[in-house]
Amino acid sequence: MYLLSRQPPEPFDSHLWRKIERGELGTLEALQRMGGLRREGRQSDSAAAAALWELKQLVGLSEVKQVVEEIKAYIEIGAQRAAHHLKCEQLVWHMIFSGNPGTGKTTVARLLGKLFKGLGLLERGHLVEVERADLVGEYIGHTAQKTREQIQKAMGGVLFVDEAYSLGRGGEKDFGKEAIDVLVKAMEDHRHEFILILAGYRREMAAFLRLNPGLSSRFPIQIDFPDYSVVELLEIAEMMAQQRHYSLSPEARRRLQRYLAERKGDLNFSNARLVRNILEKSIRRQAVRLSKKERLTREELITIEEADLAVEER
Amino acid sequence: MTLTIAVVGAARVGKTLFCINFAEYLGARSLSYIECGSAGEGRGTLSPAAAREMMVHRGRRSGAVVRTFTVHLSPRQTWRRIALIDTASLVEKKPLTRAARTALLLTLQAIHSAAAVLQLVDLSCHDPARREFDDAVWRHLADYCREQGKLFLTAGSKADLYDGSLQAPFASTEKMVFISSLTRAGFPRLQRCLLGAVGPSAQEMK
Repeated sequence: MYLLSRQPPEPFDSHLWRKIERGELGTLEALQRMGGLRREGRQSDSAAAAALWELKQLVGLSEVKQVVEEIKAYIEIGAQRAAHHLKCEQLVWHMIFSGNPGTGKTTVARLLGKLFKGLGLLERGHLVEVERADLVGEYIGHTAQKTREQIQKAMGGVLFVDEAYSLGRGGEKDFGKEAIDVLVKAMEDHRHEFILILAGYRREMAAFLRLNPGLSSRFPIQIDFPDYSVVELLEIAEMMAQQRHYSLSPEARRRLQRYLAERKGDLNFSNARLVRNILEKSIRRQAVRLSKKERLTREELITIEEADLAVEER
Repeated sequence: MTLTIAVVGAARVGKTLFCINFAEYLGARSLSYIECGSAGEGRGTLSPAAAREMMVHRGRRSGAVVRTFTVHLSPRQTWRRIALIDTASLVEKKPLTRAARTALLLTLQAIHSAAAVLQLVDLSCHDPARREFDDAVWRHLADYCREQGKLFLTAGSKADLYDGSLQAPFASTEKMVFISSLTRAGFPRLQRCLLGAVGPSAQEMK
């Protein structure tokens, strides 16, 4: 016999479902949106697949990829449980990303926004990237207002607080503390409406979480972004070059490998960002070198030679 | 094979009586039903007469309940079973109460799951606001069903009380079937439309 369930059937749009449950939509709006949102739903499926594909293309980041697999599996199984009238509670997806610069934190946050939209967890899936200056005000009351504005902008998407540990600097009298309080309240009150990601360097983030003991437990997902190995950085360099229709000559590749191995221990080593900067500067240098020649082959236009490589001797 | 038909419409348009009488017309001697609403789920089997007595004449309110009647047809027919979903009344006023929200979700789910959607419009009602509401429901459902490839039909119910004053857009659509659940007028045509997906004409019905 035909039986109706109280859960949104797959692929019934979960946003529409929740809006009706909350009483935000009347009968006519719900009927009107049913067709439109289902069209969006089909686009969302492909958006999720595209975001997953992009994530899989990223070099390394095995922990991130595993967490994303878990999230995707949880949502898919949740839909099947709903079909069997089993409880399927929505989890909280706020996260902490810790790692050195250039390890892919912002890139992954942006992809997660797209993925979560595709999976129906977020309505818009956009990324709002902020830092201390965007949240902390200059006088009493200003911080709460600024922080709330940013939260409002991030509704339906991801609020990415870069260098979040800087909010904990300055002690009790600093306005950063107020920004943290507003963020904590919002992440509880609007737990399913946006995702808060606090990001920063590993050591500083650990100290920040120690100073705010209640904070860590509010972030069920904490991902460590390790530094890339030299081999991974070379792979990234080649991938970036390929995307721009360039390639590194074997000599340039060996030179870059030596340079990255030398610089890897540096305090301000910025991983993939450093590779990108080197590549972009090298492309400019190659252009200058080629501009002096009269006739150019396709091979010459593509190849970045060792002489073009923008790496400084130490 | 089961053909699922969602019967939708505003309150007091005659959805429940239509489902019971149409099921009986199709040959059902007993009606298995399952109902779902804000108060929970229930199921049972009744004769059509008992179902009419309990669900229509005694005035037991079924506006916030979605009820599915299953009709078993002869094995020789294309469809072995028909599930007639008597959906919750579509409510115009806003904001919706908690029970109405649950009922709306169940109704949308029924529409989503059904292969065919039948909208009932009360031909005896002269309230312009109600006509406007029915018209808006008709447009949204038509859009949705066209996109989803579902069969969508509009039936003017209580045709025995119809005085010929129905206004556009329903009068202008050739897909409208005029029926009376009480007298069962229009049921043969509706059966052909639903089971054979043959479009009738309003002119022919008049």
